[in-house]
Amino acid sequence: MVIALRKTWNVLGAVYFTAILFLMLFIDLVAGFLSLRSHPNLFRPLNDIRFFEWANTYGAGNLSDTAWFFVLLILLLLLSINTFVCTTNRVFALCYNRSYFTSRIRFALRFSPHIMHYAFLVILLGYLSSYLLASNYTNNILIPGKNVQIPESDCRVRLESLDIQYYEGDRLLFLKKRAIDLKAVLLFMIDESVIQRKIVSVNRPVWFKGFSVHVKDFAPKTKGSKRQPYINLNIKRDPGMKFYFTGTLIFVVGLFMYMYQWFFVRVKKGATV
Amino acid sequence: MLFTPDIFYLAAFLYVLSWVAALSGRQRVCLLFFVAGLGANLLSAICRYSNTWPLLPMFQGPFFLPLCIGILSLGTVFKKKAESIYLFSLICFLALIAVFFPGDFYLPFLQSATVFSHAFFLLGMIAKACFFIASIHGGLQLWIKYRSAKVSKKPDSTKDSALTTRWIVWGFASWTLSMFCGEIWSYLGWGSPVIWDDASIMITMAMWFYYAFFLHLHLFRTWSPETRYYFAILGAILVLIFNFYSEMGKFQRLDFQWL
Repeated sequence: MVIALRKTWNVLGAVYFTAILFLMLFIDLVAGFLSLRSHPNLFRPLNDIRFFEWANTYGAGNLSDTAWFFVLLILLLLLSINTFVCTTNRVFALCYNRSYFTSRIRFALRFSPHIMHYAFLVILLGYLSSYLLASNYTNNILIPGKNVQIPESDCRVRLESLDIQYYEGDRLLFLKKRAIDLKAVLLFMIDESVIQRKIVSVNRPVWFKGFSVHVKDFAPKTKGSKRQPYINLNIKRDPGMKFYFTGTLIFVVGLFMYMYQWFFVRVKKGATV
Repeated sequence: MLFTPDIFYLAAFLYVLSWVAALSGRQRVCLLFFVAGLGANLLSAICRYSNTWPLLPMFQGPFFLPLCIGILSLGTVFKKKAESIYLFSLICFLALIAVFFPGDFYLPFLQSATVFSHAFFLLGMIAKACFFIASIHGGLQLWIKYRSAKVSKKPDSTKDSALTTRWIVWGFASWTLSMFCGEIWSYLGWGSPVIWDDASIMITMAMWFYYAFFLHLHLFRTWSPETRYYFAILGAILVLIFNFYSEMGKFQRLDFQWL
């Protein structure tokens, strides 16, 4: 039993398995690229709805064009298992050989690829929880003075004011008298009492009680336009967000450690580590 | 004409001259034209940026890529290494593609006004440049090996294989950072780390896995440096087909209105 488990463990962590998975992922993503180019409408709903909702509708209904996506998930699952097993084996081996290292820094830097590998797993976990659990409430249109209920909560959000900045310069001809930025003051309220006052803008979402609020659209976009000023908000609760950004940060730390090791601390052949 | 993006025409012309000079063995003239071409290309890139800043210049990668390759390979070119001629050829080829297949008529959108979109673009350019340089280096090593085999000499391929890998490592690091910047930009702009409207995200991820595969090749002791060279060359061809091609426009004849 133990031998069988050990064999399975070794097969799952084999580097040849990694290589095969990488190549299969490459081929699958190229297929995905071609499919997404010719059928963008099939995948666009993934921006707004959860994975299972998409899989049961768009995914299952157009299997010939979406099969690559399901294959991608299987391959990523296998790669995650492979990465975990392989990295864990190597971390244990490295710790076991600690006495061979004369320098603590060199020893610590040797962990850099493993840090990246574990970070990769955290990122994938983040994406998985995001696509399985995130709630996305799109098209919350607000005009100044009006409010909308934040779904799944007792809070409301009101648009206090909307200040759109228009481009007046001569350098950006395509943007002349068109909106270049906006400042929307949002009031987060429970009943009629204001809990928080925040400013949301393009590329500057705000966070409130686990929700993030993003600007999707606004009007008027041209100076002098008679359109009713409004802002269209996407309200999102994404439990995976913290994971994938934490994973990203850890990956970057590991990457810089690796680059530092590669270029400045590499051991010459025959020298002690 | 000097302070417009059209100065890229001059840059491409100077690149062609440097290539011709290199072919005819005039090193100094070649370097002179090459540095002048780089200067003109840099000016063109600055103009393109200033015409859209703080927004991102959309689909202008082909105009920036020869500049990135040129700057990164300055050391090689000035040391008069053997691959210089191939680098000149590549830069010429890419510059001429940008001249005849420009895709720079798309207007930037407001979500691109963030430091992360610019980092995504520029790091992606640096990564592509590194991959192309690695492929040139790998190709040359294969050629040297082929020539050596004919005269029964054995070249030291280990050291050169490390150089190819080094360029790929730099490229992979830039590519990864570019993807992470894209992830943050996507979240800030649209609230999701992946935007399913843009197919290019898939191919960016595909190439990331391809080069991750390349970087794991050293774990197979049986795989020779030659295999790495082949994979480096194939990688550059794939980047050219999938990542570079998507930024190209339709064929356009030269427009001399700016003269």
